[in-house]
Amino acid sequence: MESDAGRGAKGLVILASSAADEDSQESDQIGGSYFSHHLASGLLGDADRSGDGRVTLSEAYAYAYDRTVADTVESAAGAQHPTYSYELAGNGDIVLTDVSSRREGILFPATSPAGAYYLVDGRGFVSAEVIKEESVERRIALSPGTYRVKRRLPDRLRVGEIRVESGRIAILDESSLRDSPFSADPVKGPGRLAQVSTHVSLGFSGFYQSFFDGSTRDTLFPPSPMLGFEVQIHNFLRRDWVWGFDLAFGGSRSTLNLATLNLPYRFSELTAGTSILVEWPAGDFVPYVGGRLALLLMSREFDDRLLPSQNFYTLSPGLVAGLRFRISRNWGIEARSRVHYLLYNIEQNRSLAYWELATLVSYEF
Amino acid sequence: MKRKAALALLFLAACGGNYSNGDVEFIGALPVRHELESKLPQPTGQALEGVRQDAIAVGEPSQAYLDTQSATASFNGGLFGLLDLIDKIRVIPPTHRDLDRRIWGPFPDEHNTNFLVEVVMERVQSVVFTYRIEVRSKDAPASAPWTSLVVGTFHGTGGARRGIGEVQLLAQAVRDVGFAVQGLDQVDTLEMSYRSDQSLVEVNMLFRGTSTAAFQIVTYGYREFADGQGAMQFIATRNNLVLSETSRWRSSGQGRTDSAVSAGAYFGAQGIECWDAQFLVTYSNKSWENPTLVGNPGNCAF
Repeated sequence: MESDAGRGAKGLVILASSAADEDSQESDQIGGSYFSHHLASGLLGDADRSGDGRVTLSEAYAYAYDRTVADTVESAAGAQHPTYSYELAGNGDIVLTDVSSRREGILFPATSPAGAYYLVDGRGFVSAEVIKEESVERRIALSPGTYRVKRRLPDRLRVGEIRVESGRIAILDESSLRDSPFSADPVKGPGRLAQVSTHVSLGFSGFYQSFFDGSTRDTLFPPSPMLGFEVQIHNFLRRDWVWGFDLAFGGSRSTLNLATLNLPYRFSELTAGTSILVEWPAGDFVPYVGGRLALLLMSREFDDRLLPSQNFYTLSPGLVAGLRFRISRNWGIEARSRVHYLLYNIEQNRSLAYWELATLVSYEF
Repeated sequence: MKRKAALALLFLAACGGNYSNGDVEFIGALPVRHELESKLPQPTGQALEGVRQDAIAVGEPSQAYLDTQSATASFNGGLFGLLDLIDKIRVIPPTHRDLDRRIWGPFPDEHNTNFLVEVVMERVQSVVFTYRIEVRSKDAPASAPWTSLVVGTFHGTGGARRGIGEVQLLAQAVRDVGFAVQGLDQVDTLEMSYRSDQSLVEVNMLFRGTSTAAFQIVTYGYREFADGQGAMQFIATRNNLVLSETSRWRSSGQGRTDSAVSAGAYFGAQGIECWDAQFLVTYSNKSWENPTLVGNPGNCAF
């Protein structure tokens, strides 16, 4: 933030998000407080009412006030009125940000239609709002990246995508936007609401597990189909983070072939794991990656009952990647892969690795 | 570096079990008693009873069968005494594993509380294993030698416990160091050789008695065929008398015993006795019986 202290301005300015007898309200849709969101949007450039490329203290407050009151006037808690306290000495207005000097951002040409534009980042959160007036050029500073642009009309949305590259100002082209129904709202649709609130999902999985090393598959741990059950807590640790717990059981029949022995046996495995995943919701598709720590209990029972059954247990760290497809408001299907490390230390220390490919059906509450 | 070491320790501590192919190979080289024991057909229901006439007669309970039963019990008793010691390690994971060696113990012995017992198995060739059960006083220094109680070898020919093996029980050797062997007080050594494959089980056992034992040398030879037929040869030596009995039987129970005294006071005595599926005499031809001959040899199973 630029304060233009060179003019010798001196004093204390306090901006409060609400009046003394009001609550400061937050929104799941914008992922934070109304006031902070609008103050930030204003500082990014939308508060520059004078069009000189600079956002002053009075412009920023006025913008944040108007937008906060407008957004909360119909809320259950009632309208929220940001307040200020100025004790200043100096001359001229205080410039907080100089958008014109920023090298990256989006320019809304004067020819762009008037209205409220929302700029949504890759994680689905509103990075900035721009209230565009007719025949007025607007400029807003944004970090490099790809943003979805949304403009609300009475009967539909106009949505599109714009990429801000490093060191360049991207110009919004109205013709690159397309009509879209309200149900496809990237910000305020029901799917977005569901994602940002803490909630639980249950899942049933079927998967196949196999070790990368051939001799391990042949003589120690044969490939096995497995069935699993999982519980996931979404947005609990952090927004778009998932903390999961899973339990799975499986097994297969195999034959141990050694120097003079051919021993059929039944292999069984029980796994319990916990994972932390990061999701990137993008409409109905939700890709995710993360880490997992699993406790594996493996055992085998030989058909020759005179040979003792054998077991092995270990902790196994691994990586997870997957893609969930939302088939309805609550139901989803997933494809997931895991790669795990396993230390086998019974006869000698051996570093092994295995993979899993899974399909899941999940239900979000 | 410390963090890596701590992480490695965590994972090592979190690993465990007995999931080992090597263990399977070692355990698979140990004989199992029920595969080597004599399976002489037994009377169903109550024990074999009958009225022995003064003179042997067709239809009375076969004494030859009862003698075979007795020899089988002695054979199995020796076998169980030997293999029970080995069986104990079958269900316990090894205490120490090397590429070609497994060690169980040392453990305190449940009957000889002042002794430690350990079992050492080694792979000397791809399919050849040796094993020994050793004992040592608890008070002995760590460098003191162990005394072998059981010494065995096994040469695998395919499949768990399929192969040729030899086991020796050195009862007197461990008694000399103060270790008591339960149930084998009169045995100096017990030597067993066996062969076990898909079609035949062959076990030979030789008891050498102590100087105060009621016998000097007793040998048993047992054969078991895939079709359920079996045979037991028993040779006892005592005071220059050498008595041998060879019994053969079918899975149905019918059998025959050939007896002979090849040295000593009754040198030259010979006899044959056959029994039916109810273990009753069908034929007898014994030089020491009166009458010498009863029944029809055509009623013999062999």
